[in-house]
Amino acid sequence: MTLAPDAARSTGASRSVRPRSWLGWAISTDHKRIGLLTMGTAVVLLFLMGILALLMRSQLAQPEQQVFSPDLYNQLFSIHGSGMIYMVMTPFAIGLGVYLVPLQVGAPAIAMPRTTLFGYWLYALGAVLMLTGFAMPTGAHADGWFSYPPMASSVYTPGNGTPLWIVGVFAATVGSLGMGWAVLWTALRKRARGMTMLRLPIFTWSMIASTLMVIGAFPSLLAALTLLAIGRVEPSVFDSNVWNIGYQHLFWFYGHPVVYVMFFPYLGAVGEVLAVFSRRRFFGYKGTVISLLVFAALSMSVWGHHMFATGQATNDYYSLTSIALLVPAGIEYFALVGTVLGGQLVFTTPMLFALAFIPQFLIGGLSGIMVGTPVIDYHVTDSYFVVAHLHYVLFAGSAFGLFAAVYFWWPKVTGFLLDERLGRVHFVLLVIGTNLTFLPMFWLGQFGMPRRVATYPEWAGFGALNLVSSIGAAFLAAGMIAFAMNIQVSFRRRPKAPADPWQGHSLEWATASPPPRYNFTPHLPLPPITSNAPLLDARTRQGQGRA
Amino acid sequence: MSGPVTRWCKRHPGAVVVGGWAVLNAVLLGVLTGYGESELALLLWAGAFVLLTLAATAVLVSSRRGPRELTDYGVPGDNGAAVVLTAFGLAAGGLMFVYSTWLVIIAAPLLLVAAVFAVRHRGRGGSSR
Amino acid sequence: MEQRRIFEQVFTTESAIAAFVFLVVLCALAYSLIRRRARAGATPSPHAERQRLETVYVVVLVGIAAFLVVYTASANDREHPGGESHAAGRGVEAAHPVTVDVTAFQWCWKFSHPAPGPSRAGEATTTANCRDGRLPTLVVPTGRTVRLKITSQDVIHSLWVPALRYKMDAFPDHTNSFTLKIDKEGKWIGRCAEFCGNRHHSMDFWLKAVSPDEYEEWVQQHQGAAPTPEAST
Repeated sequence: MTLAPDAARSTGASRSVRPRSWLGWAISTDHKRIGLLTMGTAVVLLFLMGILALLMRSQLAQPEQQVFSPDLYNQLFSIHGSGMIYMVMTPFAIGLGVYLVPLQVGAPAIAMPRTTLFGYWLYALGAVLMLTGFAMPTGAHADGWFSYPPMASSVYTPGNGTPLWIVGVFAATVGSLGMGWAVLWTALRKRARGMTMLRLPIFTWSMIASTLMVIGAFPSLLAALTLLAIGRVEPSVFDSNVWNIGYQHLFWFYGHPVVYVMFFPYLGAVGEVLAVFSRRRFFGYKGTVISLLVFAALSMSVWGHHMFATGQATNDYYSLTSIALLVPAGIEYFALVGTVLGGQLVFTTPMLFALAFIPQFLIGGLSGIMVGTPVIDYHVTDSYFVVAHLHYVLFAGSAFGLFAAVYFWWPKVTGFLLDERLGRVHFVLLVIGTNLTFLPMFWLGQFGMPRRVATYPEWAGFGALNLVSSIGAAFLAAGMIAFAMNIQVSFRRRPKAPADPWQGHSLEWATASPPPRYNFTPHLPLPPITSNAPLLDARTRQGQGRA
Repeated sequence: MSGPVTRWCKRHPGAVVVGGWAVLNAVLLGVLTGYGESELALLLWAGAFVLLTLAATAVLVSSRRGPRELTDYGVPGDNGAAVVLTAFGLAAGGLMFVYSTWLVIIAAPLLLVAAVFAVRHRGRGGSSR
Repeated sequence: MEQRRIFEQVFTTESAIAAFVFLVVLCALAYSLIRRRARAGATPSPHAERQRLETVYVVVLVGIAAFLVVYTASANDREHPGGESHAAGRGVEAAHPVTVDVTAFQWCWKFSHPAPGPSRAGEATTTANCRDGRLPTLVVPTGRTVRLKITSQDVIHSLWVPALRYKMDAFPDHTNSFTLKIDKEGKWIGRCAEFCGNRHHSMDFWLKAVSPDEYEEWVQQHQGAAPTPEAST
């Protein structure tokens, strides 16, 4: 491995630790290692949380089933939701930024590497603490991912599950905050010479918008958790409506922006994948940049739409801002669809996931306008309609973006290729499974099935649609097995990946796969930075030179 | 198109992005005030606005002190043992909320060792970030 | 069933718009998948953006958003015509709506019907424990405005009648209220929609609408009596 000449100026006590040992990974301040640790941890947890979901679907497949007691079922949905949101989709998104943003802006390292490493470990320990709840005699946390008091107070949910959840989520959130701040600072202050703000790749811009929300909104969750912790010591706090509704404000002030933290980075990844495999420049770059920032600001203003049915929120305002979201979202769709419409499409696995993202996320977005409309929301909130909506956003949308990102950057990150055929199997199974699982839930909610029910009576008539949904979950499980096999095959056979297997656009494709410790070296120098797609520019110039 | 404001914005693009975004928040908060939302919700958002303003100021200060784009390619050291130990120590400390204060006998030594690592690291001229 | 009517109207409108947008995007994708394949001999477009088209598009988007905002806000206003004074203009009986106090608790409901008029002869109350199909019934008269005052004894619950297309949360230390008017006699299931613990899934009740005469009779029968789960009729 060639080191940058500047590495000579590297300081610190790395002598005693061999870089390839496990300890070398655990304490390395290399942003690529921290990013990989974060994403690796998140993927392991993705499988685990998926298994919890399968257990739930097995209970709900038929009416009046008691595979698990209601108490255990409540733990399953609570840890599934908390895990997926706090420990999988958010950290993976930020971890992707930790890995890619320094490369994309042409920096040798992330700003504040120690803060980033600290953030990773707080996140990892937080995840472990939350899961430790299952080992407690009273079980894990069982009040859902938003844990409203007074239900989550020590009076109604005694035991150690909820305190462990509070500490775990708190730690993970502080960790995400630290990592997010480092990513933001890198994008704003560590750009290479010539990398102006309007030459940043669209993924880096999506990370800027996301991390702005992280610093604006995540502290509010810390405040909410602190309030909950105080209330567990002194439950009389929650005798007062002020703190019950106050908790909901604190929580959703974080809880809505985090949805976009779990969305923008994947949208950015999808944008890069679409542009590369459409063999053209990302269409509507400036409009997308502005819309991301406006989108992010509006997303700070919509939290109250989670509280329409509380009878204690100014519905008109939150409805106004929620519906206004369709403008920046529409601009982003204009760019995505426009990129494809004028492209020359190459159907690799990452491209397939990115293409499926477009219509599938759209279902989530369009149903989002419905739940943002008070007169509709009164009926569908806290029903399976919302479960369908949020899974279309987070699974059919964001998770497909996550897989597009994994397949796209895997060769860069590991230096090996993933198998395209297994990738396609993974993709097809996931598309079938996703729609089979989550589409029926829209009707279940319409017909009156509340969310978070451990079972439902036969006479309610929810049986058939729930069975379809559970069969869909089996397809999802099969798809994820194909994904796991693909990773395993790649590691075993180690098919060598070139530096730029896809004809990429941004700077990370200009260096080796995997990139050296300080990203760019005299042998792998930064190419001239001429736009948001410098490598595409270089290829165009070459083509013109030959012609 | 090259007034002093434009030039200033071009000189400090990062601060403009963060500051501009904070202002967008303030505008939306202003509209919410007109709808008569509860003080708690308004204060909450005002608090977030203050945080964002602080962030914008930090970026601006850094931008005024340093160049617009990176020129110093010096890189930090490769050993983050101190912060890893700190994370473990704080997690053990956090568990005091769940169990009891006896956990301090795990948390305190961890944090102490972390501090020693940090001091030694600094002594060798390492960065503290 | 004003709520249901408004819901159907707005939901249909938004579904139609959503279906249209979805189809347009799907068509654009289908076109690209067939005609823009590398193998179909397409060459990538050199345009990095089309600003004029985008500007027009943004104006259209803002127009749609503005329409939806106004349309849905007015629907929300129709559904919640303000305080009592507003309702008074809607008819004589609206000034004196039938009031029912709803109390949610872990894990069932209590419905108290204060006696009409100044007599205060006692309340007619129904409750149950929501176990083994023993569900309480909320009895209301048809054709009259009914005001439900909802509160909770312990944690947050939510009163949801799917057939009404409406729900409202029940908070401890706080009373929410909404009005409803049912046109025809019938019986519908009601549920708890806010997660409230181990028997959240079985916290159901019946909403039963009877003629005003029958209602008066029912209230008199049950006044002052011990709470029963089921209306006798």
